Amino acid sequence: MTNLTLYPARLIRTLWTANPEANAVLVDGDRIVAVGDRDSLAQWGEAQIDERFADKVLIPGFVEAHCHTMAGGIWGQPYVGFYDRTDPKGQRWEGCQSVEAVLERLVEAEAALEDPTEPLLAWGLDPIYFPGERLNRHHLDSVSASRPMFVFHASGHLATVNTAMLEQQEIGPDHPAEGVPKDDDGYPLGELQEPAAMALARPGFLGILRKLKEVGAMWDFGYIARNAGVTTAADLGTVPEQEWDLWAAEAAHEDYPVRIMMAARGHVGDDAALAQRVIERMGNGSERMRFGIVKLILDGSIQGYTARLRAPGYLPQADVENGLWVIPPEAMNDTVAAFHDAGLTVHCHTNGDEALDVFLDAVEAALAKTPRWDHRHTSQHCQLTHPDQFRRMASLGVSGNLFTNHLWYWGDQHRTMTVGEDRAAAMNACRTALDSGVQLAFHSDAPITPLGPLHTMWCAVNRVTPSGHVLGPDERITPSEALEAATLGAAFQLKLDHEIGSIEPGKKADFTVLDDDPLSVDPMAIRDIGVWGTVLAGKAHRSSR
Amino acid sequence: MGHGACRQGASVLSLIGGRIPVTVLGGYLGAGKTTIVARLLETTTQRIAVLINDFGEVNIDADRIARRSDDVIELTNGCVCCALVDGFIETLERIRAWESPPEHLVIEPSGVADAMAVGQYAHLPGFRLAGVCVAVDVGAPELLEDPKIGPTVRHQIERADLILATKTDLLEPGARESQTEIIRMLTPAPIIRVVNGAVASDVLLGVQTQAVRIDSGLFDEPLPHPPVRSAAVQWRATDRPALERWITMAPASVLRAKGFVPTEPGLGIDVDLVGRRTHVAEIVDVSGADEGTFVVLELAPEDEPDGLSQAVREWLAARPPRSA
Repeated sequence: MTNLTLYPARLIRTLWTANPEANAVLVDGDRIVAVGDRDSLAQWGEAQIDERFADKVLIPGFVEAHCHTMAGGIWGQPYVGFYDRTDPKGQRWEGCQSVEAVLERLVEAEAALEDPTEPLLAWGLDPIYFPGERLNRHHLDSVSASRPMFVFHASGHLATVNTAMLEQQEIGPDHPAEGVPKDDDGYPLGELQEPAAMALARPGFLGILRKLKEVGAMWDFGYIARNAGVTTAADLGTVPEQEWDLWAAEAAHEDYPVRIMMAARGHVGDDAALAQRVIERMGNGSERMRFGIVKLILDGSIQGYTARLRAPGYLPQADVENGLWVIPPEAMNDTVAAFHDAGLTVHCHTNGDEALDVFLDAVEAALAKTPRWDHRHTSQHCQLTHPDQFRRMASLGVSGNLFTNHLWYWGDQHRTMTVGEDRAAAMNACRTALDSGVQLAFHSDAPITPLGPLHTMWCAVNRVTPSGHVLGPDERITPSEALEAATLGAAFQLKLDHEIGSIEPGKKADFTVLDDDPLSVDPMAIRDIGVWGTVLAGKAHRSSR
Repeated sequence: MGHGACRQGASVLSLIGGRIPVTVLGGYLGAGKTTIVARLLETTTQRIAVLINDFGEVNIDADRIARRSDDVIELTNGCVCCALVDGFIETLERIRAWESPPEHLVIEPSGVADAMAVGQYAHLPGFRLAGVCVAVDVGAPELLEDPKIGPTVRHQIERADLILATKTDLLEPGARESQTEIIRMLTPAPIIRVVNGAVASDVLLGVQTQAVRIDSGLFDEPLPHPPVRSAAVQWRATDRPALERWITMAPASVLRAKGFVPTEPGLGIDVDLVGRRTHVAEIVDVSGADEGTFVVLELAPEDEPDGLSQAVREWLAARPPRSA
């Protein structure tokens, strides 16, 4: 009696060096038994044949090693961002490429609300794309003068509200809080800057934050991942520890469509105690919920001018001395050591090159004190990394998870507004990373940019900006290298490459099912390849796109 | 008006406000924040809740504080940034909902936090900002020039309402002066020298109008470091603009000034000055008192061993006269 299933495919890219291409894969339950030429698999005996992927291309399930599960729940409100985006149901939302388009979208959303007292929330606005005109309360008042409104910006640092929200929450001319800019008459403009000010608009800010914790939000994240072809996703430190059990309960459902690696957020309490709790969790992981990595956030963002940069820093027009530290540099050695010594993997947010120096110093100190092989500590974002830093990363065994989506979403802004042409051309330098011997992956940081490994690969391969500029053509990598980074490379950083990341006997039957071959289409067409869906542990999950 | 009436006025005031005053105590690692909080908890008679958000170095110290107070909350998973901000707001809401809310909340943010930005959470409903104090290790002026954290420390100092200059006892007088002067070039905020964490609680928390002896007007605070003087005056003000103009003219040595000044029947002005910060708000007065009490706290002037400096006395004398 056999439970074997044979999946013939037009092409299988295995990422298994010895057998890189195949046309059939044999699966037993949740495991791969064999992969190769269809006829050769007959040696395993009788198998049920499933032809549904016969004209498809199978690759190892995509691994997104840096995103945030709020990418699902954020769709609890309408989207007003600049670029097209697809929601968990698979509905495509056109980008709002002008203030008028934003307002039109809000009018539609307003009309759809039945309860006149329910606040209208929206997300995704990025004023960096509207340099001439800044959304204020008057714009929003034209949508509704009576219903409180709250438009959350893409950066997560700002929101714009209407007059009804200001009045309901008593945010008036006398309001003493910072981050509430006023017009010439002293009345709030409607923009609320930074979380303390956004929190003043309680039904808005807290309303959005609380929707992220709903069960539906957890499933919506799974659907977003499935639709993008992602079979394993790491939440990098944004799900609080007290909510892990809620996520684990949902992920335990047989139909939950993605594996989640839940990173713990370090430096928010007693690090040594947290390390022990994570180790306990590792022993109780499940098929779709894993633990074992720790996220640290050391600096801010480049487009927000809060990343810590080496000299010469930001362009003069930015008028900032440097960015912000989120963890004091002096505290980094102890913090990294607490997790390093416990045997865990540290994933450190380092957007700027100066921040990366501090992280690498801390890793080097930890290694000197407690030598450890195969730690897989990883620099996250790693965007402005210099060749000397890539060489040092290789020496220290530090991986790089680069934020290649920035090349598209903010590439032109980096050329003209943040770091200038030369350093923008060197951002997310995948070629230098690989040539230096740095183990490589790249990510979306969803919901900061849309979850979508094909797009992320496309950025690394083409380095094209929306204006058509190629940012640092010498830093482009091949589609084959990009595919490895998006699968096996990311799995390595999560210490899961013995289970996932390639189509290889004994590994989990996790596949991404594509309409076309990312290694033979025109490189500029990689992001347009259709995603049929995924196979997760032998179970098919059809995309709703 | 006697002592009793003043007490009543003060309690009515806190009832009207109903908001928990919040002091943020910022400063870089090693500046002595935790020692100051520990000393405050030792000496104050108020019920204080402390939120500690400085991780890494502070946890051992936090244990030390926790033994002294049931109301120390470590902000585990309540980091005052990005996605975890929800936890911080929830913590504040929980404190607000306590059956017996604290009389004061002290937040000790991370060593790299912009203390003033953290202070903005005190504008949430149910709280009010009672000042942003930043501790600076005067013995470590090199921090200000450090390429990595110099800008962070300078920014903290520049935005503070009050500066607590710590570890001054470890320095020779000459070095103490010159290094205090470096801070003074960054900010017009009053600078208070602090030894072993001792700061008058009125400086950190704000003037307690209930506790002030109102008859004499002038008296010494019975505290070892640093000497501060306070004075209370009773008056009924003119209109709000005149009061606002006057309060902004407070001499730089004034650490704090606080009071409720009736204007017309049923109305009054609440004045709160913390170093450079002034907050003036018109509120409903249900006390019916004819006059209000206004208390000034000043660093003890070296040339006036017995009382307030001449500048402050002149400033008080120039307050907007009682309305007709």
